[in-house]
Amino acid sequence: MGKLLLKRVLYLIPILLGVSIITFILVHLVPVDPAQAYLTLANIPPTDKAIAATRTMLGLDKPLFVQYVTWLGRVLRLDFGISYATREPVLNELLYYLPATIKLTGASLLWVLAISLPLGFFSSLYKDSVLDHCCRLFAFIGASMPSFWVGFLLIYFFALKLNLLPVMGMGSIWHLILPSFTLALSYAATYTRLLRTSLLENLDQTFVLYARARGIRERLVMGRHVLKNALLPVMTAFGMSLGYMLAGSVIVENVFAWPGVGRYVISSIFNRDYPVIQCYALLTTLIFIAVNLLVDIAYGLIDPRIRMDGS
Amino acid sequence: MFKKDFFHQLLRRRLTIISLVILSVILFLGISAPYLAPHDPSQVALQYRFQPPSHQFPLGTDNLGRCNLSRLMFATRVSLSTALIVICLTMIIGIAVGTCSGYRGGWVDNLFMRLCDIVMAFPSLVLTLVIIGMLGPGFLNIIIALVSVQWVWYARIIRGMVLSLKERNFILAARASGTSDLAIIARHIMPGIIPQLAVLATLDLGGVIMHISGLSFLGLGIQPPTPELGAMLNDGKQFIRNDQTLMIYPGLVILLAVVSFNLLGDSLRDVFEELRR
Repeated sequence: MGKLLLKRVLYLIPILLGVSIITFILVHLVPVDPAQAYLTLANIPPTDKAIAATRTMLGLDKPLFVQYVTWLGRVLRLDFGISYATREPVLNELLYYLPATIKLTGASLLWVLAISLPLGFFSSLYKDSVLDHCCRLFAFIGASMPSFWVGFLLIYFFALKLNLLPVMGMGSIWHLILPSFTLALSYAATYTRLLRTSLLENLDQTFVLYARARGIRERLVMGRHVLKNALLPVMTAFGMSLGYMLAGSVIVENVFAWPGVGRYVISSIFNRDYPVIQCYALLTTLIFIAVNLLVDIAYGLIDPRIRMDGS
Repeated sequence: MFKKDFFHQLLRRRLTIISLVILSVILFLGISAPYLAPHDPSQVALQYRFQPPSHQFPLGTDNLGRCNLSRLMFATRVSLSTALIVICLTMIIGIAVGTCSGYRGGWVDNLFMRLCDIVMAFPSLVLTLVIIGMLGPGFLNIIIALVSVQWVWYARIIRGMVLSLKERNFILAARASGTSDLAIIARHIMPGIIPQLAVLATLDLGGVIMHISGLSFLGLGIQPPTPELGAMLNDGKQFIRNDQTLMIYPGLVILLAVVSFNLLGDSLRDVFEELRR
């Protein structure tokens, strides 16, 4: 297990290096001179002299490679630069908005589990029944609805028409219900489908036949033998989704005026606040990679076959 | 024989027929927009604000008195054609890199696959957003952003297909008889991967439409006054209290388009799998 872990972490080093290079290079693809963007946001008239001074200050006058190395050195010390708009350290700004996004994503994960586990389970247990057809219809439609549309439909019905839940913003637990459900819907649909397929595949296996032949009760067969095996592939996908959800919250946050990272980054995109965008890319990608690593480790702990492969 | 079987199998499914019908209606509305739309989609007529459906305006008008039906038709046209452009470019780059990588192997393969690893390490929506953030919002830029994030998935899959085809006997025979690499790729490898690619592309089209409309909804994609489904939804959201149809129509078109592309992709895949057996 230790060996597997070491291998995975070592494999990550070139990837992380590559991620940092891409994030760094992207800023240099900008059609606008970053120095000019900085001056515009700081309300300083962009004279030639001011631009030259800013270029020196931001280190833009040095060769690209030198710029990258100094930038990487700073990033490793958690210094992501200063926001052009607020002149605050970018990392602090993003960390200020991050808890709201994590809260939203966490609540959505609960929705996903609460919806997809029972639906997928019963759908495969009673295959081709009315229930199964309903679940499949839900899985199909749910995955095809754009989240911003779902958000508005929910706002209209539950907040404006029925007056049950608050329309927008963050505050009590009631504020959390609609945004987290909106974010969760397409994932819940996907997982219902995935779990159903995975369960059905496992039901065909010989060990299920054997367990049944031994006279083990059907519920135990399902619970102990089938579900455990079926959950493995679902888990990997789940880990990936967590990262996508963190990123996908951008749209939901904008629909519900949720004060999270996504809303902040969109306003930064319009402001051309490049350090914020850069830091956002690195931060979310790091979280994404870390979550996937954790899932890999968990997978290895649960499934001995993977553990054997690794060493 | 294969073709006949294929269409026979495909058209035997009820859901396929439904999705094909919906898609042809949507495509027809999009293609015919400049000829059949009852009004100019950007013609502002303040005296006709928030009109209910009538003979003159079949789906009513929006906050500026513009005809909803005409706007929807043009929006469908814009969204669908953008999605098609994105998928085509993605496929072209994916095929080029994937076949090159899989067929050649060696350092070329290594280089491309490491690049894919790195791009895949980003959550795709984040990378898309960041590229748009750097290039600035706009039609061309969302195409660039979406293509540069998506090609890696195609390149990976195509490389895998090419690798497995490369070792098959008919390819070895072609190579032994001195057929050039290009001819082998064009004549023997492409026909083997195109059907699977068609399935992938159909399944992806729905997702791409959602991405484009999502980005336009955020104001990062296609800019007003050009009608686009996501942008229309964004316009409609301010009037959620007075006129809900403004946001219901564009969402419905997106939903129908995505559902039918997914259904079609699913049945294409099923049919290919059945025929291979």
